[in-house]
Amino acid sequence: MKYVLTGVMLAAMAFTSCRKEKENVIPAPLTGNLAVNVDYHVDGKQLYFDSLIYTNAAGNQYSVTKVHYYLSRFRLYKEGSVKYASDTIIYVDAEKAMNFSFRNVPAMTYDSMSFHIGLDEAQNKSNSLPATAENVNMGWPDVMGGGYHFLKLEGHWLDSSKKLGYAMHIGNNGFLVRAGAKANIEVNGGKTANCKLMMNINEWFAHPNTYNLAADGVYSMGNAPLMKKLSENGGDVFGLE
Amino acid sequence: MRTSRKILHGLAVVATCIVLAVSCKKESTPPTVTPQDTTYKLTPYEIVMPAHFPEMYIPEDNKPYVERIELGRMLYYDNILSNDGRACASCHFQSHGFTIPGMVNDMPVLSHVNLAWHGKFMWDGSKSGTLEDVMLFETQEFFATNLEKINSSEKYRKLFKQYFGVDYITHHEIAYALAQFTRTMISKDSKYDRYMKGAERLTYNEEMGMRIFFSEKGDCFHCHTAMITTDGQMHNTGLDSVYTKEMDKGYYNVTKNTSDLGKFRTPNLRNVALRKFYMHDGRFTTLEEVVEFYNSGVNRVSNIDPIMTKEGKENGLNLNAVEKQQLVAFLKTLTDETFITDTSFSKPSF
Repeated sequence: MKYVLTGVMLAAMAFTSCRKEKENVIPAPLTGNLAVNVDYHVDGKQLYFDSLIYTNAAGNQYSVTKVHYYLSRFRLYKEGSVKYASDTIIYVDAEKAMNFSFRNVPAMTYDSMSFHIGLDEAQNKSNSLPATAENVNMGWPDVMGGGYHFLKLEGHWLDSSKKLGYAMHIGNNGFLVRAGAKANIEVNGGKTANCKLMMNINEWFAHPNTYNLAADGVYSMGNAPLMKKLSENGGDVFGLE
Repeated sequence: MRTSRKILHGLAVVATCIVLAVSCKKESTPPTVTPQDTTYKLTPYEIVMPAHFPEMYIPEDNKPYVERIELGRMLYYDNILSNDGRACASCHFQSHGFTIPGMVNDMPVLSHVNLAWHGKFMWDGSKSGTLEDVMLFETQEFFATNLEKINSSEKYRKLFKQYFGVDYITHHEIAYALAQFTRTMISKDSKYDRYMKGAERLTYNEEMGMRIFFSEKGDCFHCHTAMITTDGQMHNTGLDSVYTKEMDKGYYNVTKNTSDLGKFRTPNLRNVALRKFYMHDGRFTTLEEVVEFYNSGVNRVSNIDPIMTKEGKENGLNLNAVEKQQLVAFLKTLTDETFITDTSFSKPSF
């Protein structure tokens, strides 16, 4: 009897412990994080600031001294449907390392990402962003329509043998850059996936419009046709790795 | 026996680590200046941020207190800081927007206004960091403040003991007190400020001048940003084609990078009309001369700021006579009478 009782107790304990184990199985989280790093190149060459060593599609030899811009309205897609959306606004100074992340991203494999270079009409109003030094410096004067610069891309270029400057600035509603890139981003529940946004500076001067600094002009601010060209070219400046 | 030796050995290692950690901390951490260190009750001071100004950085260990600001003001006006009779106020007159109607070492003195938003200091950007950092330079190197002298002052010993909780005054506490005061020196009530708040109208010429300033016509705003009137960055604006004097090389003297030749920090334009000398070497003595330089005298040097190479404006803005006057009229709206008469910035009664 004693042995039977002990056997029953052991069986009960075993059953309970097994059940406990079963109860403790934590289901895989449904979301993970996505860490994004932003980097630069010029048709595959590393970007060195203030170096007159790059050539664009029009054959202009040029350097880069400044790349400041906003990224906003991120969307992640799978088979053409938006599966994740973030309206975070990111200010980027290309001379500084830039890493940011999205939290609670549904776990799945995404095949593309879209975002804006610049700010939506609702956000592109003077003093609508927090008054950080960066945002103040990106201000687009009220007398020119107000809001913020979407992009400041500046540097020098060689016109024959003369070194001149260029300032590709975009702002004003209507010139928002709708950018995107194909991706293969696998976000696993409870984990952080990584991806890298790579801006090819040369793409600002090509596709669909070949931008020739000698013929088109070196100063785009307030010049609607030039800002339109640049805005259209900006759609594919980023690749995703 | 062996076990207890191991324990003793372990304890000795832990103790050594603690001693090392404490001694390292003492060497690397500046003296704490929180009000808890003193029995004197300090009065917190709230710096009111002007609308649309960038956020101000205030270090955690130097939060503003009324008493420390007042102590900083006393030091600002006291020649005890130097060994040759000078004080900060010797070269920074409130009536001139905290600069002087003269030059020092062949350079105009940059004004002490809205310094809290600066990250680079001096014409050539040779000093950078927080206000505490630059004030440490001022007391430690520029003035080489004699600590024995200031510690022999019963008044300062007592005040520093009360406000900073120290028995011996070092350059660190002097710098922190000066930073407290200079952080409050905010110009925010010029005619331009009142216009931006909708409290005052500009004249027609001032308004037109503002439109030139803040549009591609004058393109002043890229460096002299709205409200704060400086982007705090280094620029070559084509002042010289040849850098004959060392001082003309500007930021190059700091970085030794040839692309920084002739670059200078964008000066704050608040109270610009009160100045007697302009540019890093004071070569211009009126706002009209400055505007004329930007209108027709810009040198197309190879590292000129890209913003200044717009087609047709390579050598200047090409403004007509009326437009130049309008631009000057707008610049004069940046004079802040409240700032230059505010008694909280004036010489205290010692």
